[in-house]
Amino acid sequence: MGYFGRLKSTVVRNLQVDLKYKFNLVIDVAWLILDIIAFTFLGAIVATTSIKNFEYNLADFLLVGVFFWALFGRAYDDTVLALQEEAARGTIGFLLVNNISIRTLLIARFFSSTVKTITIAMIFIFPILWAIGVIQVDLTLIPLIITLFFLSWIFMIGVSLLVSSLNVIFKRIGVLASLFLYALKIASGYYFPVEALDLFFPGLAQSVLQFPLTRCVYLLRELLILGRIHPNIANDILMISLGAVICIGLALIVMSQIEKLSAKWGTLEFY
Amino acid sequence: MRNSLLNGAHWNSIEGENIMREIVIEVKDVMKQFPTGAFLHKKIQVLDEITFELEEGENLAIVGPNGSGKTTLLKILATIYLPDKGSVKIYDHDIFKDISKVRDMISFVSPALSFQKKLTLRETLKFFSGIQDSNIEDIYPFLEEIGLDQLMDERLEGFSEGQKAMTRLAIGMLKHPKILLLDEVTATLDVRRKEEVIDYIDKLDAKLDLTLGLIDHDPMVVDRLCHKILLLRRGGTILRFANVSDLFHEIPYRYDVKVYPRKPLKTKVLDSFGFPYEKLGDFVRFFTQSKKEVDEIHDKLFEKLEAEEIIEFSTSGLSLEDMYFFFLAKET
Repeated sequence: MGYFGRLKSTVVRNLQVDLKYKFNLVIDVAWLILDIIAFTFLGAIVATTSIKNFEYNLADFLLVGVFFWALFGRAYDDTVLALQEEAARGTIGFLLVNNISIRTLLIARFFSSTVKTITIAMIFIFPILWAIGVIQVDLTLIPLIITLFFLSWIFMIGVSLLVSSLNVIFKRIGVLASLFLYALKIASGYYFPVEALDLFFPGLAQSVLQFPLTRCVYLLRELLILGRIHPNIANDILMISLGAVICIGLALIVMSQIEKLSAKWGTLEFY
Repeated sequence: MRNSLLNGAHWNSIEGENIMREIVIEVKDVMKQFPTGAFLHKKIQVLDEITFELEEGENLAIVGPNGSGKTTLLKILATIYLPDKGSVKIYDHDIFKDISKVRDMISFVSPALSFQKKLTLRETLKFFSGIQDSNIEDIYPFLEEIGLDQLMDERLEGFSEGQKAMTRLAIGMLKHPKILLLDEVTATLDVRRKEEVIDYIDKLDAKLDLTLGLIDHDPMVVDRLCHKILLLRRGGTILRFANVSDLFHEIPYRYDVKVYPRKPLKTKVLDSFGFPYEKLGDFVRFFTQSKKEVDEIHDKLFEKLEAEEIIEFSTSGLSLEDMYFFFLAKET
């Protein structure tokens, strides 16, 4: 069996396990719905009191962020926690001797969590956002939207692997991983428009906007809310692709070295 | 004996006998230390200067006291750990360079390995057959033989320790490995189950010409399944590596009879039994070569029991611990 066959089997097994923990799925859905409610109200209140020269409705702006991070936040969390959970259940040894490396295990976890969150997002979030008019998708824009989501997904696999490699060395980095995710969300413009940084730090916004994930969210807002294609989108996609490839390449190299080190230290099965 | 390379594999040929056997496991000067301490700056020596070879179809028992590195050695062969020094080759594939190929050829079964307990037996076997590219039906005869076929749709969290041990074994066999590494797989099984498992492994070994590497404290298991024994000292160095039969023959007894006297027996009385013995605290151990000699000693002890000179006595077969301590004593 080739690598992709093993990856597929591991993804299916993860989804089977996720389905057995139904309460966790209910919590995930509840969490997202609460996010939507909170950000809708926040956006609406802020919009009535301040920002006048802002192109989007702030509630729409925030809800696209919710949609974006609904797809990647849970997958990141699940992936970073995967080693800890597998170790607690004592399953890593069996996976290793059956040719499922730590990298494969984590990538499979990211895949299966993506399937899980896409399903939740498509059932619970997309219809809500569609119904309240946040997302008005022109069908011709869908290939671009999917491309941007795909590149963000690749980038986030790399990020998740890199953070998990810290997990292999230092163990139980749950709080650090949460902090890192929080920083990523801030940098991506989840909580406020990145352009607002210029109010306090002139010129900083342009630099932050070059970060692949921030660029993706920025372009997705243009596409999803305004139905507009950014004039430099080809160049932007090229830069984002480069960032995603560098990120995942670096993550795979780091992770393979960490796996070897960990096998030498004798900590791999307990990670 | 000479070594040669043929078709990329490593072989031993015996001069004049025209027998060629492939070297399956080749371990050379393996050293393993585990780092400890907050900054991993201290090292604990677990294995040192481990060198041995195993030919195709040969089965190895790894024996030694706690802290001798038995499980670490088995885990190195299973590629879970990598050695700090030395080399390990499985069918001429270096575990550093060809880890994936090596993993395709071996199965490692240990009570330390567990599975997702929320999944059913069927889902679990399907997952492992998926990643091993094997057929789940291949393992049905084994499952039927041990009665696990009735539990295919039960979650593993409801399984007893014995059933979990059998499930681990089923997963290990599902792969059709060339090398099966077993870490105390019979430890949690009752006598009947243990017998069934050993029988099955024995049959499988005969059918597939497996190479086994196992850790087990039961001499019956070692005697039935293994050709070679690797005796490890505490600290992880080799005390002996030899054929099982040769080692058993070197030990001058097979059974020992432990006798608890009411008051210390005089040397003259002990000599009158006509068997070698040793005094240890409040009891005496007699050593015998055969069951006939055991019966002979029992007759004499029953007389002493009736005369109320002794409190009780018990007889046991040669244990692997006995073997270990015998060779350790011989060495020192």
